[in-house]
Amino acid sequence: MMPLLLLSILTSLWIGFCFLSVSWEDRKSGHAYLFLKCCLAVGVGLGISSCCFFLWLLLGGSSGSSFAMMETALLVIFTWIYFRRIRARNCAKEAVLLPSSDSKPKTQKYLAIAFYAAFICALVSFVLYSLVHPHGNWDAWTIWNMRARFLFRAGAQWEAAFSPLMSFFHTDYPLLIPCLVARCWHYIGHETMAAPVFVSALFTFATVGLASSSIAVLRSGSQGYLAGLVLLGTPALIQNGTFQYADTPLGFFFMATLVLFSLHDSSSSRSCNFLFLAGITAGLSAWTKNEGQLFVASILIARFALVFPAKGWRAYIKEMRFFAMGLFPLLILLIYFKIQLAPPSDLFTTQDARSILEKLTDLSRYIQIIKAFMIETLQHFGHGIVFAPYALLLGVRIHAINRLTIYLCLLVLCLMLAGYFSIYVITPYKLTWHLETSLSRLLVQLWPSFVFLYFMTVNTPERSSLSLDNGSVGPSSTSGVLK
Amino acid sequence: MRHSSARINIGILIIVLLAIIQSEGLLVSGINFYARSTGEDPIEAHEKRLKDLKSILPSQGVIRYMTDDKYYKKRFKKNHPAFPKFNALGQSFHELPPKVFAKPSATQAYLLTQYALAPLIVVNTIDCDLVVGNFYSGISIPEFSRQHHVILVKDLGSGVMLFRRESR
Repeated sequence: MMPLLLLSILTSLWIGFCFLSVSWEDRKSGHAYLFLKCCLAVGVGLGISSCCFFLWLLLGGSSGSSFAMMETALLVIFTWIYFRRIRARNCAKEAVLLPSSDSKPKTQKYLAIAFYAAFICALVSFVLYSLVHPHGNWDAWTIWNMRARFLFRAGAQWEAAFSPLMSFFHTDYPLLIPCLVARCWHYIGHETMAAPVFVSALFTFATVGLASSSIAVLRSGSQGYLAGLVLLGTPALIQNGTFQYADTPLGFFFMATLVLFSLHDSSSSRSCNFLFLAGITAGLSAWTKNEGQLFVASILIARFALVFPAKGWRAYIKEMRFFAMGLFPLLILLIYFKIQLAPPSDLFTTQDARSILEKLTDLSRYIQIIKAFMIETLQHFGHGIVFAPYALLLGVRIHAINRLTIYLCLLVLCLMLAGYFSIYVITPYKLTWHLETSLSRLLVQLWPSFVFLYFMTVNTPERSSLSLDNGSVGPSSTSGVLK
Repeated sequence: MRHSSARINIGILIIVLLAIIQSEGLLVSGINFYARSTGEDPIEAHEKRLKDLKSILPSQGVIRYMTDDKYYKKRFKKNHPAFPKFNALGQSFHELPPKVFAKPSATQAYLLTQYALAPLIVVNTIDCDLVVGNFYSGISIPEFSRQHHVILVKDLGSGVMLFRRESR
């Protein structure tokens, strides 16, 4: 069982890695770059596999071996393209080596030890929780794993999962996780709860790895370890992973999209491949959960608000063309799912316009939501209070090269929070119940992106030391490692 | 300058210490959680309870679920024998499980039954040929059958029963 599960997962990861490497525009290499690519490959690879499995179901597939053959063909094609590309790059000899780990300062080495110690604690904790509850928490077995069972067990009748009689089980939610889990079961030939546990663990720890490696690439190695440490020290994030909820993968795709925009903004290349990849990760967020659709809208609005005034509409259209190239195939899949299979969202179908208007004009709802946001934030992310002294001690300087990225992250997070707030205002459910059962999860979705934003903004230990060596206390305004 | 260098180290130390404390707390709570666990996951236990039932049910289709939750019994006794009116699509907003069952544990039992029997669709309100009974207190089978116009097909023990609707 385990070898087949590993095979199914490794197939996805390799497809993701090859796909990313082919689309990757920078010629830089180094451990942090490779690690960043590997972490992104987890989400992109699993996302591609999920979409392929859904397409295979739509085409009438029901036997496990035929899907494995289809995916193997995809794997061979991507591997072939990848090695051709590698050979072409080696001939060009343009690779720029970033400093290796041998030149790591002492602080960074200590931070690495702390990071791996925290990682082991989180991993052991994850395994222990998953051993006790292999089916995950409430939403995992009422929504995600339940749907995976329908997709796997029902054979050609898999559409029964979206019967109107099943409307209580949120049949309007997209299928990234159920398709992934059912896909693993197809490979193995039977159900095992190790599959959803494995998928969830991959997304949880890839989120930590992505934050750490992207900050290491965009800012500094020490800063990268600190970002990873903050995420590993967030019990809500790790526990949410053990619950097998879709909020952790969603948080991964949110951050991956922002990281890819950052790589684009800080790259000297004129190519827009990172935007194409950002389109894919944004599309995968919409394929994970309905909040992903709000995220796609937020990205489009925020990018417009920032790029149009600064660079004009031509630059915006050019960017969005590449972004859309990655996004559209996934949007088409999602639109098909929403039109053909999913019922309308219960947020709007279970109430009329008058009821919504009444809620919109009820001030007490706004106060209750603000209170809940404050309480949940303090309860689950209260340790973020250390951000204030750290920023005070090391200083905050928005570097010119990162300015667009930082404003983008800030604007997107504000738009997302505003979106979540609005949904709570008009929710047809009892507000107290809805807040109690979902708000902490929504905050978990945004937390990795917030940590990324924070460590993009504050000075790095290396930069602060450099400023001290130069005789000035404030951080310098030169750009980061990518320059 | 030495003072400022110490400032950077203090900044780093604050984040590292907090992350280590939080991670250690997570590990300790994980160990305690594992040590306190009774061995069997309640979901696994429910699946085992329904294992025999699953083997005699059709693999697909729609079946009805009945239980001995007080609110549920009262509500459906009142509406019986003409089951409540439903829209053509199925369950209305007011017939969703949390509104149908009084106790959260009864809601959970219904949801777990659906999870275990998938891809069979288990409904709690619509009239169907097959009825799954999931009872936690002793019931009188003849009385239940008379009240709900059903015939016992098999008593699988542990309060799990399969009924068939009487032909009208």
